[in-house]
Amino acid sequence: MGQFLFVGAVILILGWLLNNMRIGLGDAGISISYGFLSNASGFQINLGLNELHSRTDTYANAFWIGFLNTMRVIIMGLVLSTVLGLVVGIARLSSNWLLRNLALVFIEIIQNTPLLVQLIFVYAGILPSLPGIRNAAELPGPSYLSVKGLAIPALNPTDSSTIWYLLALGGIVGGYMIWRARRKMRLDTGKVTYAAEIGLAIMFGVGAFTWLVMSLIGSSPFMVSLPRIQGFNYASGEGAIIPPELVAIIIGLTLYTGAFIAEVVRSGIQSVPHGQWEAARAQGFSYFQTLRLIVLPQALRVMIPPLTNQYLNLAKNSSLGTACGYAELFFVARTMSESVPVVPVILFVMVTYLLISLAIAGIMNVLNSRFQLKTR
Amino acid sequence: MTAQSNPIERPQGPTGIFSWVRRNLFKTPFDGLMTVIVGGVILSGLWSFLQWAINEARWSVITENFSTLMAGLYPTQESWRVALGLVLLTTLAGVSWGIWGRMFAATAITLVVGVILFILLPAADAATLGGDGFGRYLGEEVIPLFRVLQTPVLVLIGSLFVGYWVGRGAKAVQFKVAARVTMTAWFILVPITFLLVRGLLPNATVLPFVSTNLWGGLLLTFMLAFVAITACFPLGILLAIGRASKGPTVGKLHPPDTWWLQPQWWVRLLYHWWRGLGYYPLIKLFSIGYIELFRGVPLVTVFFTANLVAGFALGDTQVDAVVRAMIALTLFEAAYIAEIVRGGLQSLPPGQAEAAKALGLNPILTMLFITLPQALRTVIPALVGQFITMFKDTSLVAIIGLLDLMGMANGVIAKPGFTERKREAFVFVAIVYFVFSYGMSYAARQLEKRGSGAARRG
Repeated sequence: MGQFLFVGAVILILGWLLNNMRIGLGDAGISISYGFLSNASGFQINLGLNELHSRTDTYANAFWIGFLNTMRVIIMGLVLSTVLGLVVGIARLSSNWLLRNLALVFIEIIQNTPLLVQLIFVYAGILPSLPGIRNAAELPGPSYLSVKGLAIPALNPTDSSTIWYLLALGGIVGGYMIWRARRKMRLDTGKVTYAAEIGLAIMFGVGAFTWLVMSLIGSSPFMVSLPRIQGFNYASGEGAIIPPELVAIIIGLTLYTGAFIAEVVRSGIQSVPHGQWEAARAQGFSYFQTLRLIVLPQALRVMIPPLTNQYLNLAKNSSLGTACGYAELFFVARTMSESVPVVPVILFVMVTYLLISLAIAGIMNVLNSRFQLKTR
Repeated sequence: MTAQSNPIERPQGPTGIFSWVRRNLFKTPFDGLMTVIVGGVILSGLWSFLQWAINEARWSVITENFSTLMAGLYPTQESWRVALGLVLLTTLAGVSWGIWGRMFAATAITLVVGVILFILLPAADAATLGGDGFGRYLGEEVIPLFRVLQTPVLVLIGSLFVGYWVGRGAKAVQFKVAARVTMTAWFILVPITFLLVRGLLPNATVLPFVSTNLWGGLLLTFMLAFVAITACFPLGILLAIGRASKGPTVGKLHPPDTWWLQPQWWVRLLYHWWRGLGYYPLIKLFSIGYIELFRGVPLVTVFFTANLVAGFALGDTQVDAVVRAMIALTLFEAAYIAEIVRGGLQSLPPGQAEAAKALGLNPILTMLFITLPQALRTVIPALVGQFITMFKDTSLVAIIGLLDLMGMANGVIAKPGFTERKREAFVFVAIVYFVFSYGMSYAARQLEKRGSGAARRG
């Protein structure tokens, strides 16, 4: 019955804390309720030139904007850091001494310094030394890179976009189904069916073709909007402008998580018995074919659980965007806590992060069970 | 050549630098191309970094703020206490290294080169370097940095070496005793260092009290890390035991497909789930909830709560910001430690616990003397990895406005005259973090190489 004593103690401590909090908040005249959510926030959130949230918008809207910004960073970071991790992890096992050791040095430097230092170094140390807006570096596109951020051409949807989306989606689904069918044919009969080639061509070809046709008949699904420099800034509403805050957090998170993913990839590849490499090479597979068709699929089984951890870390680390002024969820919460009761705000933020973590873990668990060896 | 000798000799490839280059850099055309590209990138990167580091960078931002970066507002006349604590800890690290680790040639050479660098460079002055251009820059910007760093670096490397030789000596005499004493010393020394730095009573003549509000810079970083590491470890183990607690094996239920339509199945499933939680369902549920809750939220939000909400929750007992941050970090990291320890507990074959039970040990003794020691031994590398993460995580207190190394650097570059010296400050901070966490990960790798059960083998 020791556990009832334990639970009693926990309840007592929590009760004491909560009671204190109730009294303390009562003395300070603060009430704990979410009633403030529909009030005007009185602060604004800008991302580059775009005003995402104005003073008259509600607190609920501010939360929503913060959540969207967090998700933007998480999704971009997930994709980029996976790619970087894969490349560096493979480079780490290269037979080329220089490449192997460059990857090692990169991993050691990134893993042994705090993410916060890296982020602020990029944001306050590197980005301000980009050229000023007047002599912004012009990249192909045309894109511009300056202290005001990276401006790239944007595609703005038009009236006919919805039709195109549906057609392109149809192409992707159809292409995928043809890919599956032709692969099955190949597995059953052994004939060369070019499953991936044909499938991919249909997946992307339908979208490209309908775009072309639609623009020829004069109702293009997208308008290309080119960035332009106007005065001391980019012209508002023209092109897509990635502000330095977003650039900093994306670079920082990608490098940091990428270095950790690289180690996951390395140990995953190393966990595949060497005989697999040798057998594949003996059968005439090239290095990259062996990697892609033989080794990585087997390594993936070992890699997914630690990869999940890294993805979760990335999601949680996105809260460091605060340090470089990127208006993500925690940043919004901190700004809010200056004008509304802090307890409901922080509770809301924590629950949101918890849900994001649960979602990522859930998706990865499903992936994990898909990739595990089926033994009967 | 006798008949017994191995008839098949492994063919020795050609040796020499050219064949090495051929094999490792230009094996295939693709390899050669990679070498050229990567080499170009490395050279240009190194060149521009060196160009910056010893030609453009103004290191005076570090030299002039050195004491602030190291110890914050800690009173200068008391700073020997910090130094003493650091020397004691480094010596003990050296002793542990001597007992469990090995001195590799590369490590020794790196350390010796460092010592020579830090003895020779500060001795040079502007006159010997030439009065203008690069020499003058060296004399004015780079040498002072080395001069400021000279004493700390030399003392630390020195105490590491002394500790190493002491450890080697002790190991040669009595390995078991030496290992046990060193282990105990770690557990004693950390609180002692804490007391040494914090002091005893406000008006004591010996070791007067220094408020934690005055702690800052690297000192605060270290103190946060040390306190959190020492405190979260037992807490994490308790949580792990709580979560891993088992009960009698419960069979599998086979509910019908429409179980959600039949309330009696709801009850059965609920009861079955409760039985599956083992002998201590409440403790297990608490542990699971605690671990998942803390692992699901970012550390900054926990710090933020500790900073703003805890002030209300603690009522009349007021705790200052540094201690609150320490508690927050401890509670947060305990969840991670718990998961690592649980992994270790699960990796043990069940026969261990069964054998202990058969010998008549009660569950507590089994855990203390049979399962836990073995579990901990297998997870040492993961634990050290988590400790490194923790050390780096302390930098997040800068976000809630505490002045640790990172926070101090932010403060320093806000001072007039140093606003353009951000890079220098951050590079310095990064190097300091790198030295310590690389040292820890190096130690962890040595442990791993020897097999983490090394302590038993001697």
